[in-house]
Amino acid sequence: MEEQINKPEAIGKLEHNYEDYVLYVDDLSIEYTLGKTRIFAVSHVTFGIRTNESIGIVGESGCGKSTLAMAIAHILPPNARVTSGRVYFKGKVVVSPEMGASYSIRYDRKERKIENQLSIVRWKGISVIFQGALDSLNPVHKVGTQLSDIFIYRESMHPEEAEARSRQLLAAVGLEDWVYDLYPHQLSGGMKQRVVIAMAISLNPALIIADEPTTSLDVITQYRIMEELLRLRKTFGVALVSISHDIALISRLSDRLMVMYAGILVEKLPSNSFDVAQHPYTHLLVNSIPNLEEDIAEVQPIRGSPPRLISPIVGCPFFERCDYAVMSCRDESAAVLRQTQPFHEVACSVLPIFASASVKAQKFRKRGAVENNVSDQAIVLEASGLTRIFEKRTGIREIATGESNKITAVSRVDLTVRSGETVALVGETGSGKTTLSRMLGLLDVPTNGLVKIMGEPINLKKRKEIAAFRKIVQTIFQDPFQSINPRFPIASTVAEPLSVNRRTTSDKSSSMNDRFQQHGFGSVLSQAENHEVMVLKALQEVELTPPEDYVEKYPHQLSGGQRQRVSIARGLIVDPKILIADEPISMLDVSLRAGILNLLRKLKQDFGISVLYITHDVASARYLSDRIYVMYKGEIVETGETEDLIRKSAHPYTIALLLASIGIEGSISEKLGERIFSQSESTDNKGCLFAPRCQFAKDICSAEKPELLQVSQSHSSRCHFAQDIQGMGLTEIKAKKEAS
Amino acid sequence: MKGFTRFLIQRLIALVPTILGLIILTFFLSHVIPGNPALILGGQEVVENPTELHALEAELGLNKPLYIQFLIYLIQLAHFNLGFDYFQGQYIGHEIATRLPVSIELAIAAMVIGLPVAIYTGIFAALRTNKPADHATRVGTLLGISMPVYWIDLILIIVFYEYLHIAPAPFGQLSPFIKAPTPLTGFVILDSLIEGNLAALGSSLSHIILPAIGLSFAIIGTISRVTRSSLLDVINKDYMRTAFAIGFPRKILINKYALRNALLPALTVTAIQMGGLMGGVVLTETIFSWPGLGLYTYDSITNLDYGAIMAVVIVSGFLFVLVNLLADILYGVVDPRVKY
Repeated sequence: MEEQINKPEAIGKLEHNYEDYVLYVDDLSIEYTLGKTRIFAVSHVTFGIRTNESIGIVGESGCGKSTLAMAIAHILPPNARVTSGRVYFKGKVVVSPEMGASYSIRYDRKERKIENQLSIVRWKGISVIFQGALDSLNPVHKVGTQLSDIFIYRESMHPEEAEARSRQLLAAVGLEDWVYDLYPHQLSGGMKQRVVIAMAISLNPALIIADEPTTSLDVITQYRIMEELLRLRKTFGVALVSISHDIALISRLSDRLMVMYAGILVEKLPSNSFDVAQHPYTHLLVNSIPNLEEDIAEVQPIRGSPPRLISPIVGCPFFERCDYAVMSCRDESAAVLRQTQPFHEVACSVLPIFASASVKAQKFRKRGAVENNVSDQAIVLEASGLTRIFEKRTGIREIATGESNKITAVSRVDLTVRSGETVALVGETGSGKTTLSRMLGLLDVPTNGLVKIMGEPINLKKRKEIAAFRKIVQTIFQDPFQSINPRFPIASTVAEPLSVNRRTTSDKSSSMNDRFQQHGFGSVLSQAENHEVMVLKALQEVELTPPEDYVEKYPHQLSGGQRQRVSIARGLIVDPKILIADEPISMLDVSLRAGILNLLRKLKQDFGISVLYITHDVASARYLSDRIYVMYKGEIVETGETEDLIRKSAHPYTIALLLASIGIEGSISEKLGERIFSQSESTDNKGCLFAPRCQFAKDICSAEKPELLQVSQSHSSRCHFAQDIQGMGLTEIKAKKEAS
Repeated sequence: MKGFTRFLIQRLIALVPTILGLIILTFFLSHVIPGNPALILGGQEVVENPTELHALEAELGLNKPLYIQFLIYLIQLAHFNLGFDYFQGQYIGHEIATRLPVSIELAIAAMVIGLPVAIYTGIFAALRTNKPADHATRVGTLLGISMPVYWIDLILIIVFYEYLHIAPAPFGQLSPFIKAPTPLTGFVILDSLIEGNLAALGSSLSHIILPAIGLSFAIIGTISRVTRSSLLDVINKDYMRTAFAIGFPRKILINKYALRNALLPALTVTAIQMGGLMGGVVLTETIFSWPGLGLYTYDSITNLDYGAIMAVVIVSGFLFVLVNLLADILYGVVDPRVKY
């Protein structure tokens, strides 16, 4: 193939062929050099996009999807090298082994020459929507300047005209006019993302690449940005390549989907639905994510972890993790895309032949889990009126004027967790859920209110008293990469709570241990042995098997999922009654999340441990929990038994959250009005905190604060109109969907 | 702006303990070192005549206990009286007022010469990382930092005055044959400009060039390195990738989008350097007989003139803090994220 391209007559022919494609990626391979290691990020990827088409590329982190996107835009870092293939933009080569795909601001004659060739493609042909929440915008220039500069320097436009155009653009993406004079740091994440979108459409490009356009935004904003992108696509008629690990989002945004794994395209789907997927990886990926609409089957984790790409992969990269693998999967031709149906290509030599029926049959097992009635169980963890107020640094002036600099992170929260129950706490970033978890985990002292463990009130100011409760409540933190000491072997990490809580743990293990301790030296040995047994047991419990293999490893040798298991093992080793899991899966790869979710489920079923699961994701909360608390700006706004709360939500915020998570086009703004998207910052509101964003808000809402009142048995909502709006969310949407 | 005034007031209040600490430290340090100013002032006569020595000591206030001396000094200071310089026969306040502009003028000249060179070489090196041009620049700036300033000054004098006869003799700010301008501001160049005295202007400019160049070497080295490393940092930021993907011309990319972010650390270093220079540079001023604070410091130390030493230290300390405050204010102008 490559030899053909090099011949001049072949090029002419190819250009003719690729004419109807806006973009054609032909056999593209890219590798990075990091010191002496080579990373084979993208291998032999081929696909094309026609005018006005939208393609979504799904994959986990590290699968090479971002590299692919940045290569198309020719903005890879300098250590990336194109090893094979070409990218054609409207028949013109923009990326090739000779041209590379990297950029450099440094002075280099050769690169300047390439850059001159590319200047008509840059932004006028291909533009990029970067992750706006990160620092994609220059911090020292105003939003307006950054927008109008595009017109001034790329279109040689007069500054005044450029300003007018920029203001139009801001309006086009739904931003107010005053945003023009703000700096990026003064904008919220969603607003920044819109500015980035405005920049991307500024020069009417033929193709837009959206690289994780909504990651790290909260659910409702994500939904809004997605709607914005869909609308712009219609108005401007551009081709769109969007890249994300969020399966739900991407299928809503695209006409066609492609799935990427370990640097290759494993499946090209004919439509935006994953229902017809044939590749085992695609199946497993979809099945590993809990969803809100269907009845919950057990989500299935994908075993193992993605390959590290430091050597070229021969055959199917999914081989080690695949249930259907046969020996021929190791053949060089195993992972080549083959057409199985019109417009449907799969890089699997086994499964499509098997017919996918058998896989589908097991997809939706009804929720067979034991619906154990926990309401009569003893309360193990109870919070009443829990409040945490943070004070900003105050100077002499504040004290003199009595000006308050207080931020109420958590406000009068009542919460109970019963024995053997899993309770989910759902809320978006900044809602105070982590602060609450720290107080419940005895890591922070509340400003007001009481925490009771096993019915005993705890005075968090008395350190000695708390020590006794530490082994009853254990916390698992969000980031497994930072919550485990990289210099300790796994065994030490897991055993640490034992040595820290030595005095309190000894009373649990039999009196024999005490006797040993009286004998000095011997007891040390036996205690160490005892610890080892306990470590192995804990590792076994979190399914790190065989545990002996992990004991001497260091964190960097483990995957994110394994690290999070170590973190859970560390919590389990003191035999706690309550486990507080603060966003345990949000930092993990998609395929590893299901494993942790199932583990938490198992802990509850097999050991009767109560779990407080803290998350921003309603679907996983539903999957895991018996009851849900929804938190908004430091307050619990709704609580109830999981299915009841989701089907008959009685608070507008919960409804918005659910609709955004399901994300049917137009559903939120239709139901809840545009105001839901406004970002109100007023926390000193006398009335309902959600009122500024609520369509149903009446005068009473801004004047009187609603209390958390029962709407039905064990279902309460903090809304004046709870009864009226109850059930507006999911049930209705579902009915609507079925009707259509 | 409300926040800004508050910030300014806070910083000015914070100045008080800093300066007070400085006063205490220099006072006791200079009085603890051995030596008797009265002996130096009186010379041979008082050495042989103890009564006269005591009289002189009493006149200078040296016979009182140290803490009393300190209190007297503080009280005088509160009245803006820095004391009397017996060697120059002048009030120290007056002496400093005439010499300070001279030093500041030299510092500004050094900055005017050094800053553009430093920033330009910094950018030049950053855009050619690990290429010969980068290495050459880095070695050059390293030399600038490590060569002692008196050596550079002497070489400059030998080359440009001795051999090439381009530069004027290294004695002061003006040639002795030229009528000095009336001191309005104390800055000779500025005064000649105001007066329209072109002869004095030319002479003062040609006199300031050599010492300014000598001084700028150290500045160039430090600031150039800081600019280089911070520019490298900025170039790898996401927003630079955005700007590059848009396809801005190189000039805009670097000058408008990268440099402003990169200059923040350079600003801090510049302020520290400037603060150091303004208080007078002893070596350069001594070599060029530059009648600034540096030369005065040198003279006062050799004469063990407590009052003068203290005054110089306090004034230059005050200037140092002030310049750094100015840099903090500029920070807010350059970086909109900075809040006061």
